[in-house]
Amino acid sequence: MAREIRLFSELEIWTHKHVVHFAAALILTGLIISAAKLPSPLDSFFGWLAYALGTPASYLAKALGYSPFEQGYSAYSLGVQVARVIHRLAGVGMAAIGLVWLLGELPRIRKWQIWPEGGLGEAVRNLAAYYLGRRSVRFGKYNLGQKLWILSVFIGFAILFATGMVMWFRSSFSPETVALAHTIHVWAAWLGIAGLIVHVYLAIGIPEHRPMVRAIFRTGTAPEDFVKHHHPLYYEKAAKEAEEA
Amino acid sequence: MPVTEYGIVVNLDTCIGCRACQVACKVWNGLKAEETSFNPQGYTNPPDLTPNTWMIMQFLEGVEDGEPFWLFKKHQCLHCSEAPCAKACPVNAIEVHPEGAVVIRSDRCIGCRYCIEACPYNVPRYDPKTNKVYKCTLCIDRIQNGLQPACVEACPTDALEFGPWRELVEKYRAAGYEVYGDHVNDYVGHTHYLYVTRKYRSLGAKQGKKWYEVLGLPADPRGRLPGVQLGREVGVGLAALAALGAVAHAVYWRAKRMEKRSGSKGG
Ligand code: SF4
Ligand code: SF4
Repeated sequence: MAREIRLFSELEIWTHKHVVHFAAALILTGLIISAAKLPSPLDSFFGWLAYALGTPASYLAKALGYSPFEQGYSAYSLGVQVARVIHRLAGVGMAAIGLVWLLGELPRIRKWQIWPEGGLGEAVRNLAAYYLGRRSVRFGKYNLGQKLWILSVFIGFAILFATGMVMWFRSSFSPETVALAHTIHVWAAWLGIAGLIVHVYLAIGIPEHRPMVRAIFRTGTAPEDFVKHHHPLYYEKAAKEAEEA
Repeated sequence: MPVTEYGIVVNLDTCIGCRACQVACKVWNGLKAEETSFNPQGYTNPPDLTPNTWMIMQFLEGVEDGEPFWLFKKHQCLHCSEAPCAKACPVNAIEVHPEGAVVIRSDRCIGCRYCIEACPYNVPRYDPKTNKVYKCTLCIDRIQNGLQPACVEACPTDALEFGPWRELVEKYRAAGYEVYGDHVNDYVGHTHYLYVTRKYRSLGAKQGKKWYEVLGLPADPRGRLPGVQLGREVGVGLAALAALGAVAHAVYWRAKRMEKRSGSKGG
């Protein structure tokens, strides 16, 4: 059996898995909340999901002794209301996951290689060469695109969390602040969705990258040949560390 | 038969500030009384709109050319033809009726308050007890049953006039009145409440203002709807672009791989 090289810790696997769950919940509920204002056919699809959430919720309300009418919500509105509650819980859940990860990573913080080795210019050239020229290049554990993606996930989520909180507790803020937060929230969410499409494509859509999918979701390791070929700098570092140990 | 588009004229010159309209609105809509107290700012009472007070008479005081003036302005939803509040509502709880009324359906409202962000006239009011937002309905229930809005019916001086919107605009323009609302801007369109005056037309002119601006009716009212709407439209476009880019890259990548394979076979 080919030797496996460790790329991700148990904590990283756990974090990524839950980030996927919470991001899915956030995106889905976000789209349900704004369904009525989305262009066709997105409006019908996500609007249908609002009914799909609202109808059982109204039966449940009835079983609990409220009639949906007394509760004052039509099935669609109730669906959106349920989506809003899930959206808020998922936002808090996502922040909690981020916090757990950060606490777990703190001891390793000195090992973070944020700035690309070899400089920024080299990193840009490498990235272009890889995706356009299909040349083998000397990436570390993460190439520039991946580094930027992780950074924008952090910054993007922080912005979404902060603006979401302003919208949630809107009575405590000025109308201008609330409206600005709402605008930024919508822009940041859509930028995130667009970024996520690219991220998922690069991970799953390119067959050569699939060992990474297995690594991040299950084993945390990838075959030696793969790491040597795609992340040579990281491979050399890992080999050196193994030798030293 | 097409439905007639209606309007209500508020004639500043003949209003005497008796508040009969304010009371009639409460009565017809079954709205609870407010606990009021002395308002040090003036005679407006309650001092602002609330979930239970959908219209108020504002008593505006000032001095113009050394002469004091005391003006009564009826304040409520203006029933904008473009109804930005309705465009902002995520559950389509705000209906725009062909009669001109912009009405919040309580059974649909989820209390998100996006309509408040969108309204440039600061009208809808949120009630945390019911988690819903309330405002004037133009008495659509009365209009659709052949009655005049309650406020209009109660006005003892005919300072309020209800009728087909176009006829009202033409009538008051022909009589030499200044009219606010027949065309405001692209954000609100025109309003179904029309404010008219002959007497106060030069109010504020010394400060370079229009009379309606002194009344608190902006010349170019804008709310926060466009930023949100644009974000959504650009966002959907970006997401589609990302998906397209992914497909294009997949095709390119595959072609490259085939080329490489055949090259290595040949070589
Ligand atoms: S005045 Fe405000 S609440 Fe009334 S229709 Fe216009 S935007 Fe909507
Ligand atoms: S508060 Fe009610 S009426 Fe206003 S936008 Fe939200 S759901 Fe619509």
